[in-house]
Amino acid sequence: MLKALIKKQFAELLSAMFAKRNARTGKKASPVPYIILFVFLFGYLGYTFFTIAMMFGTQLVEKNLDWLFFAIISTIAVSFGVLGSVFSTYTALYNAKDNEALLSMPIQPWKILLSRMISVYAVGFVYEAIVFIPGSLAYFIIKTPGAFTYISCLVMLFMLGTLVLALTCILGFFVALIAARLKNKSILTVIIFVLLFGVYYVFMFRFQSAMQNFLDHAEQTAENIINSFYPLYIIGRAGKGDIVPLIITVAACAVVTAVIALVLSRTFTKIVTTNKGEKKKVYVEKAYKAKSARHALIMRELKKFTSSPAYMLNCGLGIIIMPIAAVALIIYAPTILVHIPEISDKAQTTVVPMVAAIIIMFLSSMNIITAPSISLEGKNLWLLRSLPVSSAEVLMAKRNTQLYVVSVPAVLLSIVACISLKLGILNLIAIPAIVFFTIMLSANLGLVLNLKHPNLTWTNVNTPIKQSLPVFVMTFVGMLSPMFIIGIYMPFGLIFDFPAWIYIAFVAVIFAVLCLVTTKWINKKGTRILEELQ
Amino acid sequence: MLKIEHLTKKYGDKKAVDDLSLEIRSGEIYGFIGHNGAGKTTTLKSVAGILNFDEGEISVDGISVKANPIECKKRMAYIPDNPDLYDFMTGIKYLNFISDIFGVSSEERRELIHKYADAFEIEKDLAQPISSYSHGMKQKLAVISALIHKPKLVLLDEPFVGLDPKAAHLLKGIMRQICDDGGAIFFSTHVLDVAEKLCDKVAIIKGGKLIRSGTMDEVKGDESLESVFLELEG
Repeated sequence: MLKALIKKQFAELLSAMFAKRNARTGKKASPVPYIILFVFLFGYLGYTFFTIAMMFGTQLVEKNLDWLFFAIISTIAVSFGVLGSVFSTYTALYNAKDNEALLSMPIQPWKILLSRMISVYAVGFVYEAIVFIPGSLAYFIIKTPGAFTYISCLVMLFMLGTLVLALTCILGFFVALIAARLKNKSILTVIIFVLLFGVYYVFMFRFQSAMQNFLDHAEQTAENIINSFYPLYIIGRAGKGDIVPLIITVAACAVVTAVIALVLSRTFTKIVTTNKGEKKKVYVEKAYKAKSARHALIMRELKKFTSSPAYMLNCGLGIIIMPIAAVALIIYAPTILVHIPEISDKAQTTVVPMVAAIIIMFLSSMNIITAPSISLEGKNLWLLRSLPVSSAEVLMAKRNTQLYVVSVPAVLLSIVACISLKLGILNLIAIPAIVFFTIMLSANLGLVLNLKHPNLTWTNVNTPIKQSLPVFVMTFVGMLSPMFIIGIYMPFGLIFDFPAWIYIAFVAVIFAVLCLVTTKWINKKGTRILEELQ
Repeated sequence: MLKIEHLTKKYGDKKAVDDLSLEIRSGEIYGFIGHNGAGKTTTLKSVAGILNFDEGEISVDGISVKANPIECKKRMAYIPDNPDLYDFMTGIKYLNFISDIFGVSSEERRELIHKYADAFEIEKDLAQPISSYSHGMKQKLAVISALIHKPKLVLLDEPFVGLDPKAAHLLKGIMRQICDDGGAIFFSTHVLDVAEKLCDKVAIIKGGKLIRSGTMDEVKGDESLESVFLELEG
């Protein structure tokens, strides 16, 4: 039975990524694009961590502090694993749509929990391995270790995964407890995530200087760890290949995981079925306000977006960052203005407006609300199809929701950038224009991709939001296209002092044309595809 | 009110509905019975404009569903067997959304929401998110949302499943009232007793084909509807 449950969990996990079927034709979609994207993503992240490990590993090994190297790599790996999987742990463990169906079957709850924990372990392990494997490889390059170190690294790779599992289960447990009693869960989740995100960026901003400071005082740090955080010292030595610390680490990880599994198995049923803490709100009649059908459709999209923290965080984080960026720009603009002449005499009309436009385009492209919007209709698709609204109206409501929600902070940020950095009237026209058309094109492309690759049969809302081809592709398009655009401009801008606004306006026109083409496609072919979906 | 002519709907090579024709006039409650997978839901969804069909013609109030689906949908309401409504909305937000889509005025929706929510005893729960509703409450909300724009034709797929006896009794009364006011009801059911007592006409579908239809007397004669149905289904 447990085997069947585990098989189901992994089938769900893998089908979300690789085994898609076309919702119209029923044919199996090719997994190749997903594999390429995963290889690219993991390759990029792995290379980044490898570079970091090489940077501080060389100096630590020279100082004979190999254990400290492994302590740091393990800490980063566990942190990355927890951050990467904590938000999906709550949904996977406690909020899965088939919890009640499984609980109604003759299955012991601990088996349901265990099968879910194994899939959570797999997700956390992948994140943890992205750090630990390149870190270990860096160590093997810096120093040729003994044979046992290879074995210890392999053991630690799997043991740190259990530590990630234990920590995410604890966090998931508290999230489930709070969620069972809260009404506005989505807003609270977004606030917590944005705070974590802020802490992460402050850390990354200060990483270089903090790392240098750490390396300068490595011996002192090592002593502090031994004196006040001994388990980390044991973990470091275990990674290095010392047999006794390795046995202690393995035993400790096994015990912690077992205790957590035991505690969760005893409370699992209670948590997944608890709803009594939520305060019941009694309806009191208020004045009714009639709206147009178009307005109602947009409000429906907006409500769907704001009611799901996963949707907001994965597909709309830029909306929150852009106002913060505008305030930061107002504060730091005088300092930036002082340094602009150091780049070049013409920087004010070339590099600076181009970089400003690219950053705002990048922040705008982080918002991909339309990319999972068709899939998110899921079982509710019948409702839209039964209403007296055309498919074009439905699709344009989805497009326009992204356009309105993202355009306001993006255009505002563009104006703030142009005024505070004194970029002139031509850039004040060109930059908001390119930002606007970038948002529209991103919204259209997201919709096109989701119409081509819909998934209406998900059981976990994270599947269309996090693990779908449209979201993957739009994330990468949003990251790479600004790089491509600035990459073409920079040689001309720097060598020939070519005014940025002309290039920006030119690209804006191209984007506007692409918007027209994609809008036409959505209204003609897209509507037909939507009508054929079942 | 509803005319279905030679309707055929295929899923791949399989014909879910095969050359089905029937007509429902104003004032009629038309029951649609058949075993699971007979093609009842496919027929209802085709009429509702949810499914595109392969052959035949469906017209509502003289308007073609294929040629002018929006106009047809304005005149009818559809309630599925398992009402998956928007979990992210509260009951009142959902009713307001449906009212906006159908262009129901503020005054009219205030009156109708109060009337039906009070009758179905869910008025106090309208501020709750739909995700917290039981199956029966969702069914009641779906019924209210179907009635809020005063449709001429109401399509119901297993409407009594999940409803408590009081709500089921109320719904039967509302169905009759709609027909008395000149509307029409087309509904599927497995509860043959209800069909026998409530329907003016009935159609029996088997393997996608209509095997018998007509007034209740024409279909069942002196026997009970259940015995006729079991005999025909073989």
